[in-house]
Amino acid sequence: MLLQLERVNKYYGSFHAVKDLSFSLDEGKVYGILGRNGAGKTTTLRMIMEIYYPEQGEIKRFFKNNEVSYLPEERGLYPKMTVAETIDFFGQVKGMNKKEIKAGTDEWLDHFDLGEWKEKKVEALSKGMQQKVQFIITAMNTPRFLILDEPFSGLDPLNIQLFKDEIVRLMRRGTTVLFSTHIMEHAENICNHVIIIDKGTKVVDGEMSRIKEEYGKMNIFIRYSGDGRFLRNGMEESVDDYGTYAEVVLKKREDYPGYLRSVAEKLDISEFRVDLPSLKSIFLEAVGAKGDENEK
Amino acid sequence: MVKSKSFILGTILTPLLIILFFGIIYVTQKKNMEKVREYHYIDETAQVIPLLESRLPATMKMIPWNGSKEEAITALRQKEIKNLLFFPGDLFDEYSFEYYSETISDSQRISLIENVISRIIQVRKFSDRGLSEEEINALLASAKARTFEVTKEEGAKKKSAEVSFAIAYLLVFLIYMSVLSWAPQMLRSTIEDKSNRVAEVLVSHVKPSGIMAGKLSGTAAAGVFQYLIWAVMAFLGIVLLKQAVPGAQIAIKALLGSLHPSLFIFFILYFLMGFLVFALIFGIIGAMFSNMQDAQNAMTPAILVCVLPMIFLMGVSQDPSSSFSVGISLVPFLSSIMLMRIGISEVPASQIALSMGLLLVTIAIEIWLAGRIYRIGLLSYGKKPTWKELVSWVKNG
Repeated sequence: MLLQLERVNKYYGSFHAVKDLSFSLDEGKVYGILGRNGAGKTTTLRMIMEIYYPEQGEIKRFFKNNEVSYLPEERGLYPKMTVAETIDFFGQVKGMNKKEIKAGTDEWLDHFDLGEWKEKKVEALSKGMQQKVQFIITAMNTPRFLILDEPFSGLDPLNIQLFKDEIVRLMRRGTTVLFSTHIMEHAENICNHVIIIDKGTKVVDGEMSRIKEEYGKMNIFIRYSGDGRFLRNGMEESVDDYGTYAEVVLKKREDYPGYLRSVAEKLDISEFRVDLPSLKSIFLEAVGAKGDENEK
Repeated sequence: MVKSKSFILGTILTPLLIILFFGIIYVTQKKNMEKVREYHYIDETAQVIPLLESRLPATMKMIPWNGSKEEAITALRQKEIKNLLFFPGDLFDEYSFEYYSETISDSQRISLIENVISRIIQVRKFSDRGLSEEEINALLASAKARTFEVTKEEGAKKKSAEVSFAIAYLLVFLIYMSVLSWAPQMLRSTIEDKSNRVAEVLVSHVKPSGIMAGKLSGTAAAGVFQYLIWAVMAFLGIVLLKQAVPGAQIAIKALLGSLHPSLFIFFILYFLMGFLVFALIFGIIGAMFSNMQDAQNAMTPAILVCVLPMIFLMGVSQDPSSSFSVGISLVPFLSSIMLMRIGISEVPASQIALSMGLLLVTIAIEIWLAGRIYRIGLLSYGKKPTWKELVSWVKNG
């Protein structure tokens, strides 16, 4: 185990930002901590990093200070420093020696296609390039534990994919990654485990596959020709019929083989696909359900 | 910072520019004094001018005006002449003469003429009473003080009052200038970390108190480094001056004779402690605000306090042992006044110890306060904190 939070509470004055939060992290996985803006994600990460301290509860850290690297949401660089100087400076702040920094600098810069910008000042770089530099200085010491607060914000789709690939690459090399995001789709393909927080309270905590099984409804995609009325046979919760294809949500998950058989008899089906529920739909369902519970 | 072009240029150019500045003033004044000025005169006494001319420098040329005073004034208005001296017939009784000019701001020359005329009248009065020239010179001789500093260890030691004051003033001025130059750097670099959003990255790896300590020691080291360079430049300058200017040896000997090694030790101590006192204050202000514009207003009181010693210096130098001088020299924010007192008088060891003790206590309190405010302020962006919020930062930091 790498980290354990037990009934952690954090207040800002009278505002209860984090309520009885408990979860644990094991090594070698990618964890996503998801939630809306203001849910308490950044506060939680700052408490893990001992930038803030909880008023109640306990955070057990099974790693040393020099084994963790943190990329905060509010992140910046010194504009007048060159890229090389920036990497050197932050490398030393993180406790790396000059030799290690020098050895890693060119490799990381080339990996992110920033080799020719090495001696340029940071202010000359585009925002996306600066974010790459920020990622480099966070990950360059190949930490045992990597914490990223909204790492994809402000990135274009190509760079989002690049960062996702990097996270997976680091995870495969043994780094445990915990990142936060309010855009569920970002966590979709790379997280092994998700923790969803809403209004300071944990609403979901579990392996991605298990959560998708447990929460949300299955979406069925059917491309067909024929009379669309045959799509409705009582098993469906909703049907969005677009004439040549339809998206159907069944009342019960286990009904889908029966539904397929029924529809196949009446329609000419060219494509049929069952989609697992998205994190977004899971979030909406979980938050809705918990919201009702809290009101009771 | 020390590798930046601005630091290197500033360190090397500043003393050169200061020398150039004072050099220009000196040369301009010298040229001004060497310029020949014509003074037209009307001497109704018919006695003053020969005596006056023999006592004035050759650059002040006396030319008789052969018309009336009104005609002379008209000529002045028409810029035919530049200066007119009118010595009335009752000069030796009334001690009063008139000076007309297109500009009357040349106080140095006017003062010179006044002194010479005063002397002429005095000699005349004594002469009328039958005194000989030797007797008159003896009566009118000026007193000169030979100054000695008396200390417990050395007894009476001949020392130049002017040189002692100048050195002490210079050292206090250096502290004042250094603190004003370097202490605000703490504020600037803290706000830079906040405005560039680097603060949280740093805080995730280094405690806020560590960041603050790093900034303090780095800034102090840069300041000391700059002084070392200036000290080397001053030493080289003295060596060159001794060789290039024949009379400089005597002046340098007088200067060095007034210096005591302990003065430099005290200078370093008071410089470092004075810097810390103000640097911590500026660091706190920097942690409170997110941009320089907001911080400017809060900086003003701190800068005013920093300037106060310069205002009190003259009064302290006239009576360094007075209760007032002792009292304000013990105030930690005005500690450079203690250095002035050490430079010009013998200050009891107990007072020096008390001054340093109070400084250390102040620094300790400021470190505690700064640590708390820095911890929270470094990650606070946007609106300025209220006093209530500041108090809660100190309580919860």
